[in-house]
Amino acid sequence: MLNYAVPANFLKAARIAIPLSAVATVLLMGVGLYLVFFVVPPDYQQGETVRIMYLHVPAAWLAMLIYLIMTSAALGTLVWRHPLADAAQRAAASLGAAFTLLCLGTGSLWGKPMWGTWWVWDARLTSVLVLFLIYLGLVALWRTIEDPGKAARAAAIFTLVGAINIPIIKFSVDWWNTLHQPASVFRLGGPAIAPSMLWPLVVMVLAFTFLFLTLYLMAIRNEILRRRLRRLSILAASAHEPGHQTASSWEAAYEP
Amino acid sequence: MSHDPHLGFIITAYAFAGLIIGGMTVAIVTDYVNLQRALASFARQEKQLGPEQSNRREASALQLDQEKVP
Repeated sequence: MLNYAVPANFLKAARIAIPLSAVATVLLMGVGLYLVFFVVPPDYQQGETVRIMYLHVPAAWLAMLIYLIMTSAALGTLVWRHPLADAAQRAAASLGAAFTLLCLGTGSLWGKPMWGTWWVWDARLTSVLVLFLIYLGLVALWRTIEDPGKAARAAAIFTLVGAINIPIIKFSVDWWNTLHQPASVFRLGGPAIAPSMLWPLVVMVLAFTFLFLTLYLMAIRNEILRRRLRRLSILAASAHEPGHQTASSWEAAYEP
Repeated sequence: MSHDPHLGFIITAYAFAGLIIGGMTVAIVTDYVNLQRALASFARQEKQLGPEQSNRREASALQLDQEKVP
């Protein structure tokens, strides 16, 4: 596995993994959507609106999973100083922001008919909003700090500090009185959701996970290519300046 | 389902999801296409430089893939 953490090997593996993951995504999404619209019964309280759950819940889980992946990548950047760790972290941030936005948006669209409001400042919703702002902050941090090495370290530290928000999101519905319902799937005593609704949810979660995997591998590939392009640009600029000493390896790659 | 009073919310939610997912996909694919074009342009320049200089440049670029963050 560690062999694929070398960028050159990763690119070779991605050529196979991306199409396979994309096919899995399409198949699972097709099956999942069929189950959602033609098999899942309406909820006895929520009626057909329960079908929004099959977008909202997978998006919410992915929003948190992606941050955990970023936290691991941040450790890889700070502790092992691996170049692919930074690329992996940067690639995940935009995807995490998108899935968190999807979670917040579908949550509002579900909340308005069910709760009578688009938004409440309860613990769950507020902590997920904070997660979204953390993702945006990370994207902005990478774009603002010109030195990529410094940006990588700053983003890694910021990511590790923000990781405290993940258990807060998870346990917010237990620690505080919230309008948002408590956990229905991962709870002591087993899932509180009927099997006819649970299994389509599992399929949709898998579909979304493969979707993320596909986009994530593509985004990491883009980051590796971008760094190669930056390096070639620097070398080309150096070659045109007579007497200019080419900066060495990694430092040279991060020169503006 | 067509008689559900909240059908509009359901349709909007799925349309919103399609927009987000579609947007992510288009952004990443477009980025990839642009990067490949830029790298191809460098490959053309290297052909003009000649094999010795282009090998040195390619080796330096690939060195980036192997090295650690300082």
